[in-house]
Amino acid sequence: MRTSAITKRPVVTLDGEDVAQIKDVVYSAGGGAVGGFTLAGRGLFAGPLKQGLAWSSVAALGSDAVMIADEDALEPTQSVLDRSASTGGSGGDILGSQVLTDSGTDLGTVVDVIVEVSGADSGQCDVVGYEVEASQALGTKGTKVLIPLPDAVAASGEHLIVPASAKDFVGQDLAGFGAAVEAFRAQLRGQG
Amino acid sequence: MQWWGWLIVALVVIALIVGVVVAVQARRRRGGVIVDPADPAGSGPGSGES
Amino acid sequence: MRFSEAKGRKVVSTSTADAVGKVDEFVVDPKAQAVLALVLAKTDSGHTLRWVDIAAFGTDAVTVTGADKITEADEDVAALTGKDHRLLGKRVLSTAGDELGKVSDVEFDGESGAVTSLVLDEGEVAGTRLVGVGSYAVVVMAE
Repeated sequence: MRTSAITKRPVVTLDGEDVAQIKDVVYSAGGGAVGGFTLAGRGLFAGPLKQGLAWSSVAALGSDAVMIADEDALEPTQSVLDRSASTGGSGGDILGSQVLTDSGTDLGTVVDVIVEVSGADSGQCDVVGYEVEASQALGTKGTKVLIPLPDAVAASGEHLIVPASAKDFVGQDLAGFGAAVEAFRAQLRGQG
Repeated sequence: MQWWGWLIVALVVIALIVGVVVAVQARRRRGGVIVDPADPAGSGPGSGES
Repeated sequence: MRFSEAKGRKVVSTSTADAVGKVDEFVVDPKAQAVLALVLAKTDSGHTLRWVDIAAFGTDAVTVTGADKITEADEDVAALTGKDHRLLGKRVLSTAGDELGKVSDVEFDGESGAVTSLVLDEGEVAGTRLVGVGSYAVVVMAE
């Protein structure tokens, strides 16, 4: 699932009230776990809300809405951010960050993030890869490609560091991407 | 200018102000994907620019 | 029996043989998955007729023993009345967060008032799957 499809999705209680919409998806680079979401109000004059939604409080993430039991599922935004915070992390929006291999090659710019929900009862939501607008180095400048994410990576609002071998596992379509992620991680475990 | 001239000016100004507020709020609702948010003790969260 | 065909049906008092109102809206309790009360138009006084106060909901008329059964809404009925709680035309969202369609009609049991099913263009949803009704959507259990 692309994060670009999740932002702006309504947050609806089981009583049928749309209490907010998703603003940002928040995750930690080490492990890629999605901690939660920041929220914005609905309507023409609404701005960001002071409350956010932790992943553990999400009842379901569907194709048209994010379901919560009731408004008590919301908590102060800072406590949602704290779940993904890392000491010394400078944080930032990964969209627009430059993708660099650990050997210093520019692979392109991050234009979207791919997440996967797994585990019983949507226990886990993880970032598994990035959609990158390719640079010269990938041989297909300007097109959009999908790069799988290893288990740990360094990321900030400016750069995303990926192992040089990620180049070999670049994919074009979302459908087969899950397999590419597995193959890439298996290869890393073999090396590490 | 006649009284209705001022009325039109007022309506246009109101329309412009409403337009600006709607645009600003839409921008503030725009979300991104935030990685490793900063500690509250450290610098503030990222600007969200992309 | 369906909401669309039952709307507009006349309400007749069995004691005076007079028409005392017309069915305008249905107040549904999503937790009970049943019609709680009717909102009537063209009444002399009061607009609410609780389901338990109806003598019978027939195919041509709704009967009550007297016009005194039509009252102002109590708190519990008032809380479930209004645009936010209407079913017809509202989007249907499953507990899994997927939109199933829009409610085009509601099937209900004329004797018990139970909502038997929600009719969507895309198919039917059993009344037992009803979870909640709000201003944004009707929420139903995912299959």
